[in-house]
Amino acid sequence: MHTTDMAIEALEGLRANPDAAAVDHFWILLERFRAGLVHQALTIVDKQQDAEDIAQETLCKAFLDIGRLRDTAKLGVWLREINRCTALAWRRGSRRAKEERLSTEKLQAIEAPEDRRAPHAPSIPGPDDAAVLRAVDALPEPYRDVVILRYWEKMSTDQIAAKLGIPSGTVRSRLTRADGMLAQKLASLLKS
Amino acid sequence: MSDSTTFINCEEAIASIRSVLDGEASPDLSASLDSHIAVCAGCLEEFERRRQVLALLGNTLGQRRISDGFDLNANKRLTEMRQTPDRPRAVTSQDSRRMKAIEHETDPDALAAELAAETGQEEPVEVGASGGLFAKLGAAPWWAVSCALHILIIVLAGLVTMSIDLPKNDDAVIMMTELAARPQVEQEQQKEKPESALEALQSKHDTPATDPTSKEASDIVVPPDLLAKAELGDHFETINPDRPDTQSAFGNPDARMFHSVEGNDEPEGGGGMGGMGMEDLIGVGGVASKGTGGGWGGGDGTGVGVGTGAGRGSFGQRNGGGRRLMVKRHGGSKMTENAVDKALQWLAYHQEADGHWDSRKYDGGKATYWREVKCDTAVTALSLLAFLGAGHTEKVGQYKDNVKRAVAWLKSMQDAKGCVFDRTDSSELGLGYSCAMATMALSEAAGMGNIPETRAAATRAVTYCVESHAEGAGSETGAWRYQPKMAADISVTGWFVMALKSAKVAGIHVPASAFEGAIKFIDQMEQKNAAPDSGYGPASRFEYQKGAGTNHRRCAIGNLCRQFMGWKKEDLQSSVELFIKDGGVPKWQDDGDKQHKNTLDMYYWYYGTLCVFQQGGDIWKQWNEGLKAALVPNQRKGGDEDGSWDPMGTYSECWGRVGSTAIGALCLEVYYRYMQLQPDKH
Repeated sequence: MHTTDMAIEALEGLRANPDAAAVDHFWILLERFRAGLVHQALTIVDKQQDAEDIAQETLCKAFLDIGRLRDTAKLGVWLREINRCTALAWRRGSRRAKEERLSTEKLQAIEAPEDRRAPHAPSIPGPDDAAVLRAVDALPEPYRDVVILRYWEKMSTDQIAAKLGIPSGTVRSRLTRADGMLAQKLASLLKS
Repeated sequence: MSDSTTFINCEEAIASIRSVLDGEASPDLSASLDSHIAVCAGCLEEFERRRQVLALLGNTLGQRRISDGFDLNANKRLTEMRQTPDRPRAVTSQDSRRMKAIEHETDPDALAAELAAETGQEEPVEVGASGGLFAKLGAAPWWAVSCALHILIIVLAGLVTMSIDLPKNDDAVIMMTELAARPQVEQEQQKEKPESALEALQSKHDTPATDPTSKEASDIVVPPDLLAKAELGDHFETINPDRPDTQSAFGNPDARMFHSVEGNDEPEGGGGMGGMGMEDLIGVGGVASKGTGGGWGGGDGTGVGVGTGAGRGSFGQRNGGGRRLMVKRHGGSKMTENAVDKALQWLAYHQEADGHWDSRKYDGGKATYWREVKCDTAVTALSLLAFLGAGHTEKVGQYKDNVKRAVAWLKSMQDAKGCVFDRTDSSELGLGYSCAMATMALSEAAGMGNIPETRAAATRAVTYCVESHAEGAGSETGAWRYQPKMAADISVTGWFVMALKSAKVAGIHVPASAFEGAIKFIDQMEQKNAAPDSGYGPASRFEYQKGAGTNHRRCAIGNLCRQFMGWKKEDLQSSVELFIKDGGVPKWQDDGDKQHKNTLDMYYWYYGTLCVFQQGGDIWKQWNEGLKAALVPNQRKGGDEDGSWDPMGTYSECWGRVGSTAIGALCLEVYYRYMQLQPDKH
């Protein structure tokens, strides 16, 4: 089972007590899954800030509806499903909002929105970036997790090993295999 | 290429590319890869491809990271969603497709196009006529579908019945029956009945079973040769609270062998007088003279006193005269002492051969939730602390063998860095708690037994706690959580503070930065002015982590940490009163809710008991009455569970009967386990 014990514990915390003490476990759920969910959302929406909002909403919804999950081993898959649907709904909503905004812009002056984009987040991803994001997102879960922890959370091999509860050697081999898979998926972007 | 370059094959070369490009490979490995790709065109090409992949990943993901405020914003969002009655529900793609199918039933092409666009698929998702039919079926009420299916089945069955011709021949089957003779039942009845189980169990002897309370003299005669060989048993049980077990820690007559002269019960820890073999008992002191002090960090020894003389130093009041004095002074009784003895007896009988206690064997391991967990390190450390708290060490006491085995097991679980943890335990949440509890137990064992190997193990454990597990390093050392270097929380930090305090008292070096980090963390968790001034200044509450909320349990931990780290009790009085107001005094009441809402919360009782005891005064009297009323009458009596406490309430499904019993004993040892840092006037 790939999903770590920590996340399972967190899930159990949520399931057991949606009130006070379970909040403790909510933080573990955040730590474990936030990067993966933000990454996944970024394959659907453009801005990192939006992706973060989607991931937060996903985690909160999962927290509150945890009773609907039957198999804890599928926690990661379940969260990604919720995240994908949330992101799609978000995108539809933002399209509608954009259309409405365009129609009203002519009639009234709109105050420039505050730049809520994370300061370190790059601008809207270009075509290559989008391809890389999608390629990473399409990796099998064990490989995707190590890549995301490596790049999003800036973790060393040992830190990833501790986080996922697996040996460092396994992390290295998963990274190596992930590189191989990504090289195939991104073949069109690689220079010969 | 250096001479030391090792030749590697293609597989090894490709496996090493990532670590070489990440700069994590050794110079030798880098040189080996260089030499390989210099002669292998395939690997050179693969190296180049992977270099480009890493560059792409670095360009796309390398600049990204999660915003600093992500967790806090998520927490805020959660709070808002909780307060919203019509909050959004978690929707998966299955739910969403069902909804879409209903919305688009008149226009399947539109649905197919939208789904294809959303999922990023090249080919459109097929949602043809069948999709529409299923959508309609899915939208129909269940009873209508059920009726339709039943009608369909009945019609089909009717058709099948009508279409099958029954055989029309007139062949008859003649059955002949022959009556047999009646079996000879009477003969069986006349057979002799076997002896009933009840009769078999009844004694054939005329004399009744020996009744220890009978006033009549027994007529059982023991042959003189057998009597001459008889020896005293290794323990003597009693259920009479007025006659506590004379072989137990309380009033242990064996203790006198270490004291040839009567000791004294002086208030500041007293001191054993004279005697022999004190080096075995005293951790740092070790002289046969009257002690000059006691309490945390005070006195001139960290040993344990036995016999009628009170012990010297910080752990000195855990046995002998000092213990009796403390029980009397702080509101304990013979009943509480007997309960401790019975609990230790149950723990001793249920220790595994290798020295550990099994968290799952006795109603535990179910976790606080619904997945099985294993926390043998934690329950072993808690059980060991219960024995140490009652004055049993590796060298003295009725249970010294149990203590010895438990210490040996904990030592065997220590890794090279010093972390004491059974790697087969559930680690993600348990590592921090277990390691802290084990460090505390080893430190107290080292302080009381003064065995060099135990002291060395405790020292390594302390080093691990401070250098490897705590957040930050050096002068920036912070507090603790489940995993090494993880952002701290107050619950785990409480255990580490207690562990390091025990270590310090045991004479083990603890860097000041560790306590400074803990102080800083506790300060950050404080919610000031949480309640109006009750005459002792404004009260504070303590959060689990910043923004993660507070409750009475966390407040008890925060206040206890502050007490242990030097705060005056006057400054904490209002905060302690506040958490008692929030969480109440101990009360054995099963609310039927096995989770965190249960008022039966032994984890809170443990921290609260230590904390309120340190405060003393009227609040301690109230708390102590509640504690005694909760624990003493509800200790199991009879059977295999005699002396234990049922695992009930918060977290008990995890630690089971062993954990509940250890914590119950530790609560009732409060009168003498630690001295009051700022004693009440007596």
